[in-house]
Amino acid sequence: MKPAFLLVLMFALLFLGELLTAVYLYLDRYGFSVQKINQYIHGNPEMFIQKKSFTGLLEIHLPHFIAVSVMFFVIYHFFYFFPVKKLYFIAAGITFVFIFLNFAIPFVILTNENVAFTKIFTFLIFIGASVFAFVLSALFTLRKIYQKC
Amino acid sequence: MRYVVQHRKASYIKFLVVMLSIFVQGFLTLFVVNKLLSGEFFPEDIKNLVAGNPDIFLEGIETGQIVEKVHIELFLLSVVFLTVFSINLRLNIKDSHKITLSIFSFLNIWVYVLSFFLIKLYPAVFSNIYTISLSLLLTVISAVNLMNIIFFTAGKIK
Repeated sequence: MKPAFLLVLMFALLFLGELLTAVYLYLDRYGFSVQKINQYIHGNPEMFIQKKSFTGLLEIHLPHFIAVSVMFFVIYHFFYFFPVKKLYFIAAGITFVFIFLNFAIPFVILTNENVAFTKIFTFLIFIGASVFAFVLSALFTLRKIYQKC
Repeated sequence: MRYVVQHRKASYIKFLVVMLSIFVQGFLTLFVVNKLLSGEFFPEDIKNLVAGNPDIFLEGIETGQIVEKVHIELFLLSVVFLTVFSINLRLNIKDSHKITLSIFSFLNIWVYVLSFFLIKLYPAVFSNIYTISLSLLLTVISAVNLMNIIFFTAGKIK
């Protein structure tokens, strides 16, 4: 068994853990309703939720811009070790566009409540692309490990 | 790594790898210092923090806060894990040693993460497991990282 492929599989599983905690935190804060998204960003005095400021949102989303893009670069660059297909270019492209949109949209919601629904849409595509990246890297690696055994 | 180390300017890349490894060692040391100072290292401290302690009127943290901590630490540990063990791949040692060390560290990351959650349910047991897994994880990753520095400096690489 090649240790390099095992390392890819283990990183993919750690990536899955990261993804699951991200989904939990999204559901906890934003959820899948426009009302909850607006409530998280614009606040709700009845529920003692404070309105988010621009700097408050920046504090959360600024580290995510670099951390998430690094994580996805790492996971997609593993595909270099497998036959390169057009599909990976498309998947990586979609992922990077939706990483940007997912973290940029809360700033737009801060000025315009009507675009809150786009957060759900961008998050779902972002998570879909992440699951695709995880499943593919795990399957490819398992196949390689199986072949080498 | 495979493509750059075999390059004719390999000594320059070796130097960069050693520099990176020294910084990783610095990160691991500060990680322990941070855990000690924020009361998240020893079993009694982590038990009080996560599950709370009615005797001293201390409330435990919520599940959401645990998930947030795990989310950040899992990212940091994943990056460190991948960095250290991808450098380790170039070392002139048996593949079986590399596999054993990486699997051991990987399992320790998961035990550490899961015990963080389970302290809320069974504080007495999982606070000890948490400290043991964290100590083992940091010890093994530090040892592998130091081994990387020594082997790269001595030129014992593939």
